[in-house]
Amino acid sequence: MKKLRKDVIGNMEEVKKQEGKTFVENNTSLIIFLFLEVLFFLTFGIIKADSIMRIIGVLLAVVSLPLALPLLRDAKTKIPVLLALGLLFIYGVFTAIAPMISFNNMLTMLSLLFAFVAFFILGLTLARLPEFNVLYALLAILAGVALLVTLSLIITFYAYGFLHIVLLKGKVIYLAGDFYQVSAQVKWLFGFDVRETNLNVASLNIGILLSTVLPIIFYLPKDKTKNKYIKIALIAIAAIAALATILLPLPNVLFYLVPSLILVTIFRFYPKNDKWLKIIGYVFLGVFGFAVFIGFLYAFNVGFIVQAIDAIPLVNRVFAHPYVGVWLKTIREMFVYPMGSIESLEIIGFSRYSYTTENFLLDTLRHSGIVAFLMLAAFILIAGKKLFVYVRSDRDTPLIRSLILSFLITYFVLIAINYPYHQLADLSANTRAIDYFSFARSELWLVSLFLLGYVYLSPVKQSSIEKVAPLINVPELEENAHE
Amino acid sequence: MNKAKIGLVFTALISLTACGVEVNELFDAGQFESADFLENYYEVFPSALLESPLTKQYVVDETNSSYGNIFDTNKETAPIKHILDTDHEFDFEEDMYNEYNSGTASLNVLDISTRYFSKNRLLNIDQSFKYGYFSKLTDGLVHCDGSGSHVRIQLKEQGMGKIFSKELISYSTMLLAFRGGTNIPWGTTNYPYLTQSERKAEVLINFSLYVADNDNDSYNQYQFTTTRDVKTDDNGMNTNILYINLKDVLDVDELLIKRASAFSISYELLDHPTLKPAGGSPLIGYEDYEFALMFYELMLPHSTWN
Repeated sequence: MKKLRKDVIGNMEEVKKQEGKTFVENNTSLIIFLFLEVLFFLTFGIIKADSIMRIIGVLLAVVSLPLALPLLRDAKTKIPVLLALGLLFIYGVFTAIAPMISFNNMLTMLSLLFAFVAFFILGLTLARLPEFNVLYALLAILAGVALLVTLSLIITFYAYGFLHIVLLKGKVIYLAGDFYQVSAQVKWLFGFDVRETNLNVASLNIGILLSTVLPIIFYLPKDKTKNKYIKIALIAIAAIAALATILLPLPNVLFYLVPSLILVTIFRFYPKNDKWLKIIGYVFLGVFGFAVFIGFLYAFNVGFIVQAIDAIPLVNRVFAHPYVGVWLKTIREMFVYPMGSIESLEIIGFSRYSYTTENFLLDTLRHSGIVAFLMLAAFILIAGKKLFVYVRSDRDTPLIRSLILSFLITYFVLIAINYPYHQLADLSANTRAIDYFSFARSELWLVSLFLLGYVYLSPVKQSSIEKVAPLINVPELEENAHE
Repeated sequence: MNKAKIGLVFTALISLTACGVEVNELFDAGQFESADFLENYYEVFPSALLESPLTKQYVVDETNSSYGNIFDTNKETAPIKHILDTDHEFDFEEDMYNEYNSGTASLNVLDISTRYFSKNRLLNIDQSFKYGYFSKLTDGLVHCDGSGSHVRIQLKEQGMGKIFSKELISYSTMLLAFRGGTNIPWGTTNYPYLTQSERKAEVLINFSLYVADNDNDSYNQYQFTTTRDVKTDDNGMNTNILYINLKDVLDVDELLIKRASAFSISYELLDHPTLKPAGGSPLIGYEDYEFALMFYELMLPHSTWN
């Protein structure tokens, strides 16, 4: 077929335009598809090659870096972006060299070193691609968790029957010569293995799924999404979570949802900035910060603080609780192991002597040391503020914003109170596991970093991003659209 | 129609997930862990095994077995030496055998024993041995590791039995780890210390493998019997290791135990200076003290199961 001169010139112009584009812009669909797969497999964990997943994330972040560079050139975004990246990088360095991470495994070390920054960058950069719909990313994440929960529950029910947490209370079974309380465990899928884990693992995953319920109730009926499969998928995810909560049963998980329920409800009924809510928020934050400060002083036995706390019966009871006692012990030991505990070297075969604080920040303090702890705490504070700015912005639909808010709040509440550091038995390796759930290696933490990266630059509305930090060749794209 | 199909799938899923296959053997928390010695006996003996007739009995003695103490670290008399010598006949554990006989001055006998037991535990050979109370005998811990009653089963003379979910297909050797235990309050006025004669008990041990007789809906019992001095110093670290070359014991009957799918063990206390029933002179008021066989491990190294 004879080509017209106009077509040939048109093709040449197209090629010229493409030459000026970044690799990501030329392969947007591929990059997005690959990343959605990474999110799905991270949360599903079927491969359990967490290092491989982290490295794929790092590679995707490297190719998408050109999209982040304009953010570093712009005066308004430069400082917050560099601050977040700096905090995460230092946190990554001190995590990678921590004694709890095996020095023999260079792949794990390298992947940890860069993964946190990488997933945050992916959130930042993909947010700037017009083709990227974060709802698909949320669905990939939630679908991975939902599939994992569904399969694990089928295996659990097959092994223990329904309602085993209630019906088999006080009963033990023997596995590999050791006894385990049936009601304190579930079967869980780890890659191609099934292992016995504690209830915190189930709580974390089911809690994440349950976090979708209220946003679905509030916003799904009015949402403009025309794709009915998205709606069906979201409802199915919520239904799986509800079914799991009832059939195990695991009512305690509802407790961890309270903060996200409150915040989503506030967001629903007070969608705009409210001066009084802001004041209440700052007061709450202040009280929390004061309590943490007092906790640190109490942990180091500062005389007048100890006397004051001992004099108030209710506060004294809180500080005397074994759960809080572990937190205080960890704080006390922070200067003994400033670079992270060497416990893993001592307990290689007997992790029952190990302990967890069940709090992601304090576990970071134990595992990765003081610097990593401070960097992480600072990052969480900054990113937390950005999350609330995002929720009040008009970037995405209310459904998406409330889903992200609910997901992140539920996740951080769960890992602040109930972090599942240990599984009960790791029979295939013939030793009890010590590092399978360390926070640094958690897949959900990487996913959350992506979401935090996505919401990080919300004050810059999508429509004005190009003005602040123009995407390469955006004007041409717009011209094409006009034609 | 679609609704009916979905309903069927859902019903099938519900049925499948209501099995509770791993909770057939449930125990109360703290059971067998009591401070009272008398409450820790494990006495499960399936009636199918109790009722099965004795098909044949084999005597296990010094000529067809080795017997020693796990903490014997003398390179020439340690149990692991005999084990590796026997295993070597079957071309098993070549590396360990060579290492043991290499003449290395720093050879740690206990360390090589631990490696051997850990590698050849039944739990490694077949995953079906990882479930249930019996898994205490298949975890490779042949003596106390500091976790007390966690690692062993306390038996009365009537013993215990276990029906496996698999059948024994191939085999070469068999190993049992056990010791004697008592509830005598050593260190008190009447029993201030253990005498040498009290540190052991003469015990007749019978252990059997059972092959299902499908025609008669019963089992054929092949019993091994042995009389041994069993360490009874109440030190869980010290166990006796009985190691048998099955071919030496069974001789021409070697194939009779093929497809064995059950095991049992019982014993009779023949003699101990203090304990009944053969005790020479139990002190008045202490007649009720008891002897128990503390069973730590059953191994069939390099066996296969189907």
